[in-house]
Amino acid sequence: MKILILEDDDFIREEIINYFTAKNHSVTGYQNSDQLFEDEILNSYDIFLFDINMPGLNGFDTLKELRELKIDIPVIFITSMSDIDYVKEAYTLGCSDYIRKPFFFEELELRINKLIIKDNKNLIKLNKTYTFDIKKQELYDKDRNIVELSKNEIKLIFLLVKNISHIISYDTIIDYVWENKPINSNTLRTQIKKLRAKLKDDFIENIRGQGYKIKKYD
Amino acid sequence: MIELKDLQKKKKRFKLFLFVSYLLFATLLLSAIFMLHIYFNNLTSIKKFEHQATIHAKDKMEYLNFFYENVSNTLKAIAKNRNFLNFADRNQDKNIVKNLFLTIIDSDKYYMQLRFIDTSGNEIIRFDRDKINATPYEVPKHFLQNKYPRYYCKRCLLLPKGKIWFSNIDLNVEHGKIETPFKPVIRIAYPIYIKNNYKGFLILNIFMRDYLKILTLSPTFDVYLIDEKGYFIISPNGLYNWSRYTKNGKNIYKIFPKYAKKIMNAKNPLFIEKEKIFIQPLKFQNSQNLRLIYKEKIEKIKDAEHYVAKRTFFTVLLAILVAIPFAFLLSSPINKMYESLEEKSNELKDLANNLESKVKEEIAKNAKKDRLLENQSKLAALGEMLANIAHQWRHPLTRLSLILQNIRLYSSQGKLNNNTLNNYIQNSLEQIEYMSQTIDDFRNFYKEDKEKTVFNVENSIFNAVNIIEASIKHNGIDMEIDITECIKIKGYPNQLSQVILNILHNSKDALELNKVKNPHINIKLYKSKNFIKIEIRDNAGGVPIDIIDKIFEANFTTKKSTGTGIGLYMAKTIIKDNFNGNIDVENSKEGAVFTIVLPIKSL
Repeated sequence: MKILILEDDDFIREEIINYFTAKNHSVTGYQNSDQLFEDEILNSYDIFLFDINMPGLNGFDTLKELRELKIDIPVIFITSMSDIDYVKEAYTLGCSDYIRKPFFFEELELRINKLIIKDNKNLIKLNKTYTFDIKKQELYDKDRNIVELSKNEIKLIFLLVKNISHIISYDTIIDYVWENKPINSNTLRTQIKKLRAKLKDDFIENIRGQGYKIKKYD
Repeated sequence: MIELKDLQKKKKRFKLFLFVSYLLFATLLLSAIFMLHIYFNNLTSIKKFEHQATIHAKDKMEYLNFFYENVSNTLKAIAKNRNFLNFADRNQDKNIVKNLFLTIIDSDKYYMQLRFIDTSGNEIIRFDRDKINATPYEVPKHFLQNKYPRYYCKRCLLLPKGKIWFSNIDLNVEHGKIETPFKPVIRIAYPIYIKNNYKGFLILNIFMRDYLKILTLSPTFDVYLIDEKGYFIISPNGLYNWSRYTKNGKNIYKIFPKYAKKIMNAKNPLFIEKEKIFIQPLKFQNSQNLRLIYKEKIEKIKDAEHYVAKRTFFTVLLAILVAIPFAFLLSSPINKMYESLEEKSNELKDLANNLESKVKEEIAKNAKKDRLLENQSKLAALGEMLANIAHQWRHPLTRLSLILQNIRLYSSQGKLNNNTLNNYIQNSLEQIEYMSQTIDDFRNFYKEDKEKTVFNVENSIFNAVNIIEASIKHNGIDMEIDITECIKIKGYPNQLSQVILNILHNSKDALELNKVKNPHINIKLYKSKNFIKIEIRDNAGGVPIDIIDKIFEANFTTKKSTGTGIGLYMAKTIIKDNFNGNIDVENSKEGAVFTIVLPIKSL
């Protein structure tokens, strides 16, 4: 999962990054909104975690700006503002959730997962053999052994699982996995080939000229 | 002090005075209304009288005229009779004429005498009736007289052709004496001309008693009939009847002295409003000048007077009865005023009696109130302190929480090496140290100054700023502190810090409440002559004009749920009592400016 953190306190920001990185997520941290808006692939994140009180644009104004840019990634505010008025304003502006400092990571994760995986299941069965754990960002085989995968491979699988049964275009995949790096479709094809080589039972489907998808398996 | 007895006396006197005044006033008012009513009533009754009298008098006049005309016609009818003319001319048909005369006199019970008198004054034919309703008869020849010496005879012998003559209505005279009881009589004569030769005249005497009675009969009026000289012919109840012939001869000049002339000169109906007298002149051709005088019946006047008197009495009685409650009602507010004055005067007396104990009591009460305020103030400060600590601690707490959660995660993943752990522990200790420091700061801040010390004003300012800084930053408020020189004064440094903190708190709350963009607070410290000034400005829009005078009052607050209204009141008390200084507020373009002025003398 790709997480973006906007927090002006260096220590807090770093510890959040540490935690989610240790949990196999890909985390980007920004100190203020100026840095954030320089990010050209804001649409490729799965979740935004915003502080409210910051120098420059505060969390509310940043959210407003994002919505005006038609970026609809869910936002969770993490803040020491406990006043109900702030909670009200946050929801009015369209945040997805609100959590008060100090907080428990477990609670934050629950809230994130609730937002990302609508049917509230951590384990998604991909075919007879493989299962993907969204919370842990891990792929298991039939015997519940972890399949060793690279960071990019996990990102790719998560993107397709998150949008299960939907075709994800080549460009979207490239933006999501490689972020700003100059990548062409060959690299993507090579990446897919590598991943397929690791799998005994392939679940990634190629739709010619459009993109990739993972079919829903019951 | 007003003497109580005096007041009571005055009150009684005033009460009476007021009551009587109102009573008099109301009575007079009601009486006036009633008098006015009577006046208008009178006016209408006068009109009514005139109207009635006019109709009545006209009726009577017509009645009399009708009478004159009737008798004239009777004589004229005889004068036209052929037999009579033969008789007058050639002494023929005498018996027929006698019969005619008898028939005529018989035809009217009031005809007293019918005669034919020749040009020498000799009665030629004479028929008499002794009294009304009696049988007429012919007077034998040897009783016939020569009437030439009589005035009326001379008068009638001069009558021109066709002209009828009326005598005055007069009393009958027999043998040179007025016949009693009075027998009013009128004579009417008509000359007989044959071929322009005067042959004599017909003359008819008529009993007038009943005619006069009818003429003057009225249920509503007192009627006088007067002759051309102003003597009464008929008067009410016969009092002055035929006054021309009575000894003291009352006439109109004696009875109506004021208006007699007017009455006698009246040729047309005349109404004298003032006396309510109506005059009707009566005249038919060349008859006597008579006048009817109408006056309201005396009994009626008396009745009316009685009625008016009765009504006046009852009205005045009613007026007084109505005026009594009216007077009570109107005098009661003023009476109440007096009562409350009395009450107050009593209170004043009581107060004077136990002023000392009252003063003690009030002092105790005030002390209690002050203690209460102080306690409230302390509670408020405690609340603010806790809020500030919460702000100060939120970040270190968050940090500690994150550190511990990450240690657990890394440990569970087997990624926790010594280096990482040591870093985390080091960092945690720093956070705890910071938190502990905060507590010390706060404890010191709210510590009571035991005695006056010389201190640096700058330090007091920064101590206050330290306490609120976290909360200020948290709200994105920009704070600027402008201190150019180091100023020391003698006093209570913590108290000054608390005052400054209080003002900063208010600014912060106002900025937050009004959602000011780019909020900021400026603190400025400078010397001015013998004073130091601490100026605290914000851009929160200022104190509303309607409350700016009240913000230093105890128990005044605009913060509905959280405010105790103690802050600025205590601030002012501290600065005034403990620093001999002053604290004030004014509004700039951007917002409020609080200025603390402290005398340097206190050093």
